[in-house]
Amino acid sequence: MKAPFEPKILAFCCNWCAYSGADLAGTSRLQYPPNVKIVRVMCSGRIDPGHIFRAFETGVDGILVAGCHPGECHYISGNERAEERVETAKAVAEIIGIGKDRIRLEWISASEGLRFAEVIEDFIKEIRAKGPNPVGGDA
Amino acid sequence: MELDEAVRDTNVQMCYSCGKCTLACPLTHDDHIYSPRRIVETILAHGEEGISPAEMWECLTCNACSTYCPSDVRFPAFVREIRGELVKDGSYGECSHAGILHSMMRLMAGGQLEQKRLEWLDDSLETSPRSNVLLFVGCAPYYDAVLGEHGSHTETTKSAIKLLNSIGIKPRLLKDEVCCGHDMLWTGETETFENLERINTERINKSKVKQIIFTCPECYDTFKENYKDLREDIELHHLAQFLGDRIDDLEFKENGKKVTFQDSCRLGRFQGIYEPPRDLLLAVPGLELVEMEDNRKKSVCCGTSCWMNCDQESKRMQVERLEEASTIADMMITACPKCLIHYRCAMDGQSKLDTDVKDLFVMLAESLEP
Ligand code: SF4
Ligand code: SF4
Ligand code: FES
Repeated sequence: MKAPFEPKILAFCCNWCAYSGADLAGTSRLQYPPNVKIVRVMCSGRIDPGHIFRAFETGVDGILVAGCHPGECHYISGNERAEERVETAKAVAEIIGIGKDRIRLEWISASEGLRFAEVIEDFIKEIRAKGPNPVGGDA
Repeated sequence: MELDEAVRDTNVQMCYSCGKCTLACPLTHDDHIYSPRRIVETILAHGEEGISPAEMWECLTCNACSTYCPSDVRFPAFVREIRGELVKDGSYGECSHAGILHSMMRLMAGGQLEQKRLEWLDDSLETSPRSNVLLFVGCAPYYDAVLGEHGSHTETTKSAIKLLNSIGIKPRLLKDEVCCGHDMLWTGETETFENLERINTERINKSKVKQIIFTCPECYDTFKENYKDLREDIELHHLAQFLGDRIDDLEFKENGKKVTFQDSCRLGRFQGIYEPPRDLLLAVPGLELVEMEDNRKKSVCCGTSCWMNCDQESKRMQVERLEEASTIADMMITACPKCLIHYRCAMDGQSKLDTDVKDLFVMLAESLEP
């Protein structure tokens, strides 16, 4: 029997907010699905559309870019940059046929452990409904 | 490594150290030397040990060296073959744009994705799914999405359709076309190139297409030189040449601009198409065409190739070229999407560069009689 589809999610989290949020989710023993791998970056503005598509090449099913809330980026405007770049990545994802919904941008503060867990859960639900990355691969 | 084969295939053993290539190379100037002569000599003397990967990735494959080589050494082709070997050992060039364009090429090469690559088409453009003239769109929609206003290459494709429509041709477009593979071929990712080649060949061969028209010189060169299994009765044309042969059917309105033409490496030195773009520009009444000192086969590369190694040398080459263009003309015209992108990028924030860069076909379509 074919195993049910378990989405593979890659989350790029900024060091100062989203990653701390993820950490808090962990230390608070909040349950969130284990399908997510977190890559810590100093700021969400560090993420380039190229990183996102490199991940899609390996077969990742969904990508989360998570940074500080607007106005709270530790590098002042990194998250504004992230917003533009995620827009670019979504546009490319649409044309190439991967679909823009496989990319998500969220603002999560260091105190929002619960929100982090909820975002992940919701994203996994959405990707599960969408099905696997058509590229295949074993990420 | 298959070094002997690469040497033989590209005539490298025939080098007699005259040094003309180094003089022609645009990477060589007062403070920086890139010497194909020395590279070739070192490899001939020391074999594999003599290969410097960094140098192999630095070459722009612009073909200036080979154009002047009296002994028919095909240095860019040699570089391409060696890159193929380097990639097998895990050595790659420095990707620009965090490698997104290369990722897209690899993703398309998988063949599983259903692209939405023709969303930019609008009702004013006449196309026909049964036409036997195919307009190859290439990566235009991706350039627009990734490079924003520096891209605008679908503008070129739209202009190409308008120009074809004006001479009574409604081209066919393929919705499942993939990247031609040029950049994968020239960055040594041979397997990816072969997959792209196979997908395009299968999809085109099973259609009734008789002619393929290209706006991009790289797509044209790649199909012409590197696609082995395309149906034999298919003719390949770069749009400049195709329109150049039908110049009397085109009607342009007055345009008082003074322009200069930038020959791209693939259209010029690789395919020898120098005059058709100029003839087309001169067919626009009132338009004045002036030449930069280095033109036609002496033209200078736009400084970056295959979305790789964009560095201060690239910027230097771009700014120098733009400075020259701006002193003699109102506008630089080119028929290569990458020249366009690279010069536009170099112009950003350089207010002293009082010029404009435009695609040949956009310029011509704007000059069409309504
Ligand atoms: S121009 Fe040709 S023969 Fe002369 S040094 Fe260069 S490769 Fe050798
Ligand atoms: S191909 Fe161009 S960049 Fe490369 S060595 Fe020849 S002249 Fe120089
Ligand atoms: S530091 Fe968190 S988004 Fe910039």
